[in-house]
Amino acid sequence: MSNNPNNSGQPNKTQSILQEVDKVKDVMHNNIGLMLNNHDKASNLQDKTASMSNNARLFKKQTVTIRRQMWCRNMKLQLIIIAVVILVLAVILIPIIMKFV
Amino acid sequence: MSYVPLKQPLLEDDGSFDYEETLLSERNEQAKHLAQDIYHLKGAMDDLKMMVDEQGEMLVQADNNVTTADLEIEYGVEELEKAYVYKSRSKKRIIILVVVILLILAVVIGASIKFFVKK
Repeated sequence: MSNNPNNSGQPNKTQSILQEVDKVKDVMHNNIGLMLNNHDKASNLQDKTASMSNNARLFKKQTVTIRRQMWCRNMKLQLIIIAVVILVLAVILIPIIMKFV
Repeated sequence: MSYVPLKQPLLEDDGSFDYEETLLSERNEQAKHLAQDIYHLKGAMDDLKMMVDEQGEMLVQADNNVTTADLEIEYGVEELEKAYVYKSRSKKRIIILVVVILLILAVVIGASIKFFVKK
């Protein structure tokens, strides 16, 4: 009579452990599912950020080109102004020089 | 009388032994099942770790991409500001050039008028 409760106690412990392990397995399966979703999201994020980085590099190149164009135009105008000033001075000074000569 | 008591203890021992043997067999099977379940859990844990590592690398690379994009956009904005400055200077110089050309034309017209009047 005393052996029966003692024997029935230990199988209950083993069964409870098995049940807990089953619960942990379910939780792990759910976690793996969530991790797969996160994997997809991280992959999308990586692709989008790579595209953004490429676009930023193109933006940088284009802005450098625009700056150079503006600088060239600025220099051209400066040269034109200098040339015009020289012409004006030449027109004014040549008669004076001719008078002296 | 002495023969009957010999049989009874043997029957009792057999019954008790069978029951205990059954319990041990069940417990052994449960232990094996438990071991298999824990082994599967280990596999799941390993898969989870591998996925976490991969995602970590992906996120690190995404962070690098964002940092690079930020720096390049800042540089691009600076270049645009410089371009705007040059454009402003160009506009001013265009205005100066137009004014100077108009003055030259005025002087030339004045001189030609005087020359015409002189004749």
